[in-house]
Amino acid sequence: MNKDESKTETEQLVQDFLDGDAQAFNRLVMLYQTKIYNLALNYVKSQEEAKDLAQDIFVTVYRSLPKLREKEKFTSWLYQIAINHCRNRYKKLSRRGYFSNVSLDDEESFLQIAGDEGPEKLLQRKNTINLVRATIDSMAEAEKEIILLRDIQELAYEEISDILHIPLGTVKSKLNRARTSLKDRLKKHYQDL
Amino acid sequence: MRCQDCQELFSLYLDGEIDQISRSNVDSHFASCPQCKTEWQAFKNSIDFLRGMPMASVPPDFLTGIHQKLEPRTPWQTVKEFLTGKGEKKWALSTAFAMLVIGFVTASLIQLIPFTPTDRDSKTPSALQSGQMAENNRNTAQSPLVLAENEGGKGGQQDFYPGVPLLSEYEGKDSPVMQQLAMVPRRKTEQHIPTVDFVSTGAGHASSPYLDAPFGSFASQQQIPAIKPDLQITIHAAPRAEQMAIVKQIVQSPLWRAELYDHSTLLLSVPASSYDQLLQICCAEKTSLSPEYARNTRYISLKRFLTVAVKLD
Repeated sequence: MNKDESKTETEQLVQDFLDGDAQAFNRLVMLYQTKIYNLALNYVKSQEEAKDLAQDIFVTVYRSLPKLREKEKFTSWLYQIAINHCRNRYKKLSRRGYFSNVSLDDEESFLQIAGDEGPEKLLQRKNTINLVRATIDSMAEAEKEIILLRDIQELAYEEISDILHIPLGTVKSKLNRARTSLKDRLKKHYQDL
Repeated sequence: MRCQDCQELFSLYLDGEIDQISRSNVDSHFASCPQCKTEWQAFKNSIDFLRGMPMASVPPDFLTGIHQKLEPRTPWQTVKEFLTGKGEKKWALSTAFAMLVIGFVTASLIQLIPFTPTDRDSKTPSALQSGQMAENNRNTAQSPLVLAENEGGKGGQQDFYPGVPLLSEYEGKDSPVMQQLAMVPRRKTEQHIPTVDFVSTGAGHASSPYLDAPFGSFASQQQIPAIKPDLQITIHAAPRAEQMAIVKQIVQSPLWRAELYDHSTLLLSVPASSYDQLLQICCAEKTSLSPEYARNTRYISLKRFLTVAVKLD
């Protein structure tokens, strides 16, 4: 399903839900759950916490959806809610020292890397993924967020502008700075990429 | 095109958001600048790898969990979740336990803080006559001045010794405690001559059974806590130099502790055993005592310390 089809389907599902079709909400969840769950996972680093966080995001969406005025901006609105929830949960867990107990191995154990490469190649690829994730985590919060939204969540510049409440030009310049920062941090490991 | 300008366009170039002219400029710069070309390759590899990273699968009961969270909860379910520590509330139990521990420690510390007694026996004049003197004896090891300051509070109805009966309740019993408490009034049947402790100070000193009528200077100074000396020595010696010589002797004596109360009054904390020496310094014809019979040391009680006010006439 390409992006335009997905957008049209989203708008239709939102309208159905507002018209009283309870199943439309389930289909909306199915459409976005993987992305929202992975976004949450990038903040909280644990499957259980990410599941709870992503579920809370959808609960908020369910309760607030009738108040959404611009139905065509559902995706931006959903991500605004998601980012706010993620930031709040991240702060709360940080204050409690939660992240000092979570190791990278725990974080990556949920990734199922499939492929027809040999075990050696798979292990190498898993190590590289760990390295890239650790590098993203070490970046400043604003840089990390914009990279997640653009390169992991594959959102458009305009959507990122709406979600983060920053002008389009700022999105472009910030994204370039964040990506350049990532490239510089990964430079010494290029042979692995 | 400068290298910096070229590298600032990497992101737009990668996403295809660059206009045709800028794209041509970047392409021609790459042809002439191998360093920017290398940087671009690194940039592209990083982002391509990032985009190709696998996404984690959603747990199977994800949607069911959302519906459970959307269902209205009964109070019992809320309590159960709190106790079993589901979701965010799993911290609540440990927080509650931590708060309980903090509360317990705080309560224990409060128990260790020494209290400042107030005159709980100031309810009635009769209470003053019996209970308050007994109360003072709980802290006989302390300076009488400190005691006097502590007794400056008003209207304290709280019992600061929960579970311990008031000393006034011991009256009429031949308890060994009564023998040790020197300030406890002795019965007239046992001792016919009144001691200094029982000096009647007249109608104007309801707050202190020890304070004599001429102590106008104390009464007028509202900001100074009420002091309850056991007796007052007034120095009438003239000229002034002679007066000061007596005061100097009193102040310099190591036998008691002297403190300046106001511009014309000293307060002494005199051990009963040293009371003789104090009388010797204060010659009979140059001083007056209130009460006068306190000049006879036989009438001094067993109280370990006497609070004596020395006033210049």
